[in-house]
Amino acid sequence: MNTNLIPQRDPGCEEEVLEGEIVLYSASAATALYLNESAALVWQLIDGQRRIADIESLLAGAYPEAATLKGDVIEAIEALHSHGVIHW
Amino acid sequence: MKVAEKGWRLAALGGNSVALEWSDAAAGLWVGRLVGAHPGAAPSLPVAVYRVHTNRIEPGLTVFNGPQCLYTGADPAAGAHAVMEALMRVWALRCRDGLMLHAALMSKQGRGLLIRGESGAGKSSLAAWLLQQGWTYHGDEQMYAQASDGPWEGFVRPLCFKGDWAARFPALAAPPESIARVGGQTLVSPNLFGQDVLPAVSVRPGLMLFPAFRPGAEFSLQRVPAGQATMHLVQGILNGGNLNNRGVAQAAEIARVCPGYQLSYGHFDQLAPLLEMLEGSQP
Repeated sequence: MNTNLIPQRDPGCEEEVLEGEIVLYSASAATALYLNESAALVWQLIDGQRRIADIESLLAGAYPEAATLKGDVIEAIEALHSHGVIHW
Repeated sequence: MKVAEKGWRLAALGGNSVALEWSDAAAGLWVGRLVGAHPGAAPSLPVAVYRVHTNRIEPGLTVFNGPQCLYTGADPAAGAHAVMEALMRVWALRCRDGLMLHAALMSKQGRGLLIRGESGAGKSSLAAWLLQQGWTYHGDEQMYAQASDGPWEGFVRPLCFKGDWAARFPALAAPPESIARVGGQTLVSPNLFGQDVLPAVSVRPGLMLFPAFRPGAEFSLQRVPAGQATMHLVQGILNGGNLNNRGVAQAAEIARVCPGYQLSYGHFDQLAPLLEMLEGSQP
């Protein structure tokens, strides 16, 4: 995945935050999506300006002990994209 | 049981009542078997009316919903199944306030236990087992939940088992008139499992259980995070088309106040820790 891409949130997406996790509902994709705590962090860092690489870098700074962080970020981004709740 | 030649009965779920009318005693008995375990509804204008009569020429019965013939034939269980499906459809279609869920509902001391799972997850078997442990049965298929801490209601229909239900309850002596077979399913009166009084119309929200039954499975019972519990509820919403954002926010409200547990099991003998947890959590 090209980590210079800048993910954009689907503006019609509603979120419910529950104990650090998030359930998203996209009216345009008519789908609900569960985000665990790591995926929820990624979602919260998507602001329409940060590149994927910036998100990875921010999280790597906050969680230096997380060995699989880059892979987790990519996995979360791909899941969000495949469910239509973000686009480039 | 003596039944009037003609009569009617209202049954409600989620604030919408339906009327079942019968025009002879045999049809009245059939209506009683279908909704006799469901608590009576307060008088209100029904959203649908089902008229049942015994056929005069061919043996069997016929059910009309307005001008539409919902069932005609000689198999009372098939007729019951068709009407139950129609009732659940109309309740889901009309429900615009709160969640109509594909879930079973049990209670103890007025506190509800929502059992959510796809078809075949073991909702009915678990409900029947809990009934035998002294819990009250409020339905094995469809229930209504108001968001947050509003009351829960269930459709108290005959338990509907798939597969070889009798093997799961070998100690149960089932008189033939208390069971009916339709397709690969068996309808069994909750009375047979010990429920001999009408349950309350509604119960307080309590716990949520997400079971997965698989023969030979190890027992496990784990608390699920509220986000996952929300998704379990969202997957069971039947009236999402009537709700803002398909009811996701309401499901989240319920998951915020009601703890959810994932249960895996392969045999009822493993369920003592479940009972301990459920009864220990009673306020």
